[in-house]
Amino acid sequence: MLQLFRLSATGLVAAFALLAFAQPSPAQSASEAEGFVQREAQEVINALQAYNEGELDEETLKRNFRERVDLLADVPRITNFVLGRYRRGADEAELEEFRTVFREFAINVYERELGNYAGQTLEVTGSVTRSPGDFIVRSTVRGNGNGENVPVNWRVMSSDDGMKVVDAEVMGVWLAQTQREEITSIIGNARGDVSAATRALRQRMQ
Amino acid sequence: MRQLRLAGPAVLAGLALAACTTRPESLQANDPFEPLNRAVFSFNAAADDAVIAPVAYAYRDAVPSPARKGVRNALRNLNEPVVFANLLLQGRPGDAFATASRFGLNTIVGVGGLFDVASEANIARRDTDFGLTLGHWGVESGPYMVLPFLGPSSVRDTFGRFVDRYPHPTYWVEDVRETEAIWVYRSIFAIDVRLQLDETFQSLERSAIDPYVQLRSVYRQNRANALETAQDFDDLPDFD
Repeated sequence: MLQLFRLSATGLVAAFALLAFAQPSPAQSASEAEGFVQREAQEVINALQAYNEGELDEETLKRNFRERVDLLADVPRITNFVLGRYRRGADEAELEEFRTVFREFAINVYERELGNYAGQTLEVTGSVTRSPGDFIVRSTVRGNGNGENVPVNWRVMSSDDGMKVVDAEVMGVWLAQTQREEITSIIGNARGDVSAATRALRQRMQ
Repeated sequence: MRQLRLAGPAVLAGLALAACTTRPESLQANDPFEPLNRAVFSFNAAADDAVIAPVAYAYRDAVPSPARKGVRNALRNLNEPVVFANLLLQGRPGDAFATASRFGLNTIVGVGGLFDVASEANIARRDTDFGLTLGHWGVESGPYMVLPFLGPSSVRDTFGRFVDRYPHPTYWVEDVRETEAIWVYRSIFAIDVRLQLDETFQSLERSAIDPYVQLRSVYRQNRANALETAQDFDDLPDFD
């Protein structure tokens, strides 16, 4: 009986300890989110700069960039988000095809848009905790000499793989939110047919 | 003749109704005029390709950068009374005073606004309009609209644009308001705005899936930001 009590007590202590470590205070997590953005987003910018300076060939750059994007952004979560209400009730094969094509499209967009910041420096300036595991990290991308400073906000969310970016706001415009409006509009125009969005994405990539 | 006068508005009303849509996506996006808006959007894109962009690029290539900067400064300076009036209406007397100071300083010391000496004196430029004033007063934006040549707007912002003509200095002077001079001013203004938006246009072209919807989304997010309703990040959508 005593042993059972000891085991239970140990279990409770362990559970509390796990909770304490698994759910750090919002302040700690916010600073982790800041560190994550500072490190990973700057790495992506550096990879593009290396390509611009001819240090990497295009194939190596693309490979590096894709690896970096997966560390930085939660592309599967973003893909589900942009489908909005059409994710539910859609044919699984169509969804899978959409996910594959959207991932390719999104990575191309990130590559082109982040390419504008190649050679610049990202400086995290603060963060806001929206709810546990949901943060906004504020940053400024500083131009080297002639470029203007651009404020960029990152929405960072906790996932099974750690922290990941799910959306980015440049000059007042959230990228994934905008993409969701476009995708759901196309699917809505096609009476709920997800493959219409897949076709539109393919067409845009040509 | 009277029947003809009555028929005119009836035909216009019929066209507007025909341009409405009952598609759920459009109504959810507060864009009931989407078919008409898309037609105007296509017209604007064609006009930009054919005339506006080539003229803007010709101006950029022909006029040296310092001169273009001076023109932009002067155009912004002319708009300061509009900003001043709206800041007062929004209950922001401190910002209104700073804007009046900018206007006085740039007009007198900055040679009619060609030089932005106020910014160098650390008096930052504020920007607002009557559409945003109405927003501050709690007026909803209303349905989305695309205006010929002017681009994205809303019912509220279109009305605001009309009201903003009155505090503008070009309206004060009859010789400008009632003559071709107003069209010269508007042409220069349009070219300057087109050049300011050039990078945005290129970015839209690169990343758009549906350019019409993308511009609508960008416009709305920008206006929400300008109203400072989006600054606290409370209204962001759920991701799961």
